[in-house]
Amino acid sequence: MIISIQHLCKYYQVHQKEAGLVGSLKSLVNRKYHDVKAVDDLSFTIDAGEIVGFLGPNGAGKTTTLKVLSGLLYPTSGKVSVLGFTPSERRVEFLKNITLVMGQKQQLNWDLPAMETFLVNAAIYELPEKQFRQTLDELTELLGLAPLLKKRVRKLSLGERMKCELAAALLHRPKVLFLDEPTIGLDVTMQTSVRQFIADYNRRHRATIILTSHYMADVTALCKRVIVIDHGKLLYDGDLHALAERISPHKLIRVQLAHSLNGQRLEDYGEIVKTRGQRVEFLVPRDATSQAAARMLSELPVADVTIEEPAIEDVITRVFEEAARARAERGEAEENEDWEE
Amino acid sequence: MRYLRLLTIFYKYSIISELEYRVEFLANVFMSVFWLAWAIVSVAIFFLHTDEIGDWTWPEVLMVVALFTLFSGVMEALLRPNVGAVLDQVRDGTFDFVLTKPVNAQFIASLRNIVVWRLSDVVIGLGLIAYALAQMHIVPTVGQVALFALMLLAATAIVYSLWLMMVSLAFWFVKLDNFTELFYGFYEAGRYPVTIYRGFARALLTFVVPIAFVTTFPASALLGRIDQPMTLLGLAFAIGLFILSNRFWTFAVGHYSSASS
Amino acid sequence: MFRKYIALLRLGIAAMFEYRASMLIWMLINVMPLVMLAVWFSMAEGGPVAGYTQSDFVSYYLLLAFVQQMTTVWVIYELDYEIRHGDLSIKLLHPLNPLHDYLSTNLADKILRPFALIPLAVAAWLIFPTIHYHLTPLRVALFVVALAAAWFIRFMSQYIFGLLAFWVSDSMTLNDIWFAFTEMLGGMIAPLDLFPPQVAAVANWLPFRFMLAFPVEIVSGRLTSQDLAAGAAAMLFWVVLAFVVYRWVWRRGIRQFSAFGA
Repeated sequence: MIISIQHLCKYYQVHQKEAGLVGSLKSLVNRKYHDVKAVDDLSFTIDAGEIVGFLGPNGAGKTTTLKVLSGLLYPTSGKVSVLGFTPSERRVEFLKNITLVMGQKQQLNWDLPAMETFLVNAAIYELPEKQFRQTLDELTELLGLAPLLKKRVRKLSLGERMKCELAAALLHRPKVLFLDEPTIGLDVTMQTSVRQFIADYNRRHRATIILTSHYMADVTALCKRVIVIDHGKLLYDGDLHALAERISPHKLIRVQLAHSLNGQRLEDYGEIVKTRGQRVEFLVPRDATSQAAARMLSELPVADVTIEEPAIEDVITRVFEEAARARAERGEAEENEDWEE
Repeated sequence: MRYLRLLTIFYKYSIISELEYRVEFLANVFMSVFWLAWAIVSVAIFFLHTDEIGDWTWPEVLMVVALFTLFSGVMEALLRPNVGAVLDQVRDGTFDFVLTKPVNAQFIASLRNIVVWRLSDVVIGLGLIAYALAQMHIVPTVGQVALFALMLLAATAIVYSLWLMMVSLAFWFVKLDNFTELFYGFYEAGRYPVTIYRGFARALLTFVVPIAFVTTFPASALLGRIDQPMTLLGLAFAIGLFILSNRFWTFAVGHYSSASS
Repeated sequence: MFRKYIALLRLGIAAMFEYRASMLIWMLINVMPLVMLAVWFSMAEGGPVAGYTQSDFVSYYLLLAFVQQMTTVWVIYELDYEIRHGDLSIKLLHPLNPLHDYLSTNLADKILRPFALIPLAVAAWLIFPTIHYHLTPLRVALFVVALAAAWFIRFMSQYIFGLLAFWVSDSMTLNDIWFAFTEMLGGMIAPLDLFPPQVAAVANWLPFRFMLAFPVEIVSGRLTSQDLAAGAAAMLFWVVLAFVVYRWVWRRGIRQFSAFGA
């Protein structure tokens, strides 16, 4: 067990102010605070070598959790342990074995070639010369850095810069990686190569990786396990496909019709999701998939058919919709209590 | 008239947004007063050991200090915010938007932004001038006040022109983001009456970077120390510099438009 | 630690080279010592002012300009920006106190600066052949130590004001006030012995003197051995205090930052 979070809570106190001049004056005299629960009673454990995806809408608490795990934020309550250390103590040995990559922030010196920053990091992390060279060669190969290292960072494109940032973050061969939106702003090819790189790195070094991303492709490509957070609370922790099956016990059947129908009704075969010309998409209950497909093939003028899992995005969206509904119901119940008092 | 209305609009919103930060506004005004007190104390230390600096007495020197403060206010309130803006725009390439507006580009570029609280320096400077005159029991004649106002105008024109030329240089020296600070180096020399400098230095500060006209000459006008040739020289300088800066600006913009893609 | 500083300094110097033109400008606009010199020089035309001849003033202010150049600090702008924009987080992820990063950036500048200052110093010596200093091996050694101490106190005090950004939004204003006092009581407006005696007596013990004037006073020949000893003791006190206060503020600041984050 490399990472362990038990009942983590991170609350912020925010003061409220009513709009307008009267509100300003009021808030001068009497400040009302209320708690924003960025993370609310979160618990999970992660073993060595796992790649776990953190999913959640904006403001769900993902970045906050990563910052707590890397020692940048102190928890309001709860126990956090990474590699046996308490992150908030910021021990040197702890920092030498983790890395946090935040998509928007960069550590490379802007005016100089990336290589210069690498050399400084080698000194800061006290890397033996041989190990540093080895790691650098490996990273250069995996990320295709060779033409980039001598160019000034401000002359690099966004994708090239991201790759160099990744390399800088991994020079010290951390055992634990926290990647916050690592592919944001990159074009499709670059995203694929970064994904490839992460998978390779994990395989080679048995590194433990927590990854947040808005691109489901990142998650489906890399993560067997996902932790879903919404409004600071844990919604789901487990296998990604199991989640898909649980939430959406359907499969998608895409059919291409050879010619128009002779009076058959498409609705009889399944829930129609989309039609475009001669293409139709059906949602069919999982256990009835083969039956439905067989019926379609025999009764409809089918030119082509594919059977797929529904899009993960839709699955996840549904998870959040259900959570929102549950919250609303709870909220209504609370309102009623107040009223009764 | 349209330009006057535009100016009012530009400034109205700057003022409103600054008043939003009331505490900061007060803190800033406090700092104005603090720096003035600092300047006065500095001069007081000089006068512990002498009765005159460069032939100017204590209240007279105070007037130069006051003008130094006044024009600092003018620069910080009206000019510096715009230089930064133009530099950024040239760097980002958004300066083209300024050029395509149906308003004179020089007008927008140089007067768009204002930092209102800095004008407190202008008020404080004028207050100190009044105090200094009172100390000397001098009541300037109408003529002297008129001359003073004229010299102030000339000085403002000179300062504006120098800044405009620096802004124009931005089109070539985009990377050098601190070259406007060079001006402050010269301006520092105008803290005290220019008569303290001898020979080469004084010539430099009178004819090359005419700081003398900014802080010393208006004070001279009010004190009746200035003679006609000098007055005319000052005015000629102001007008000449204004025209020159406008020419240079036009040239710079032309170069920018033809060079960029 | 040594290896880290070498690496950081290499980076700092390389980065400085990218900005050598800007650097030159920052150096050249430091004209205040020259303006003050002009004032006192003109005042001393008819004879010495409180024991200072024109030549004395020239010697004082040229060396003060040199000390000023060798002790300039601008860390508060970097620190304030990085704290407010959360960029400090990146530095906090490294197993090294961010102080070293900022220190080495400034040190890199100080390593390069003498190269630009030497031609100016030579020019000054040629223009003013009457400048004179009281140079003994001991005083020169003490001068170097005092110069380093001045730099350290200036750096630390600005750094501490920068750290105040963890709590208040007006830390730069506070630093401006501190800077104003340094110019006043640090020997810029006038050598400290030209102040009224009661003021000078107090100013002799305040940190500002040791941030600017003290190194110059050491070689100016006006301090007795007793004065030097007393000054050195006070200088040491302020160096230690600067460090202690920094530690105290940093510990609290980092807790504050980590409670609220960015």
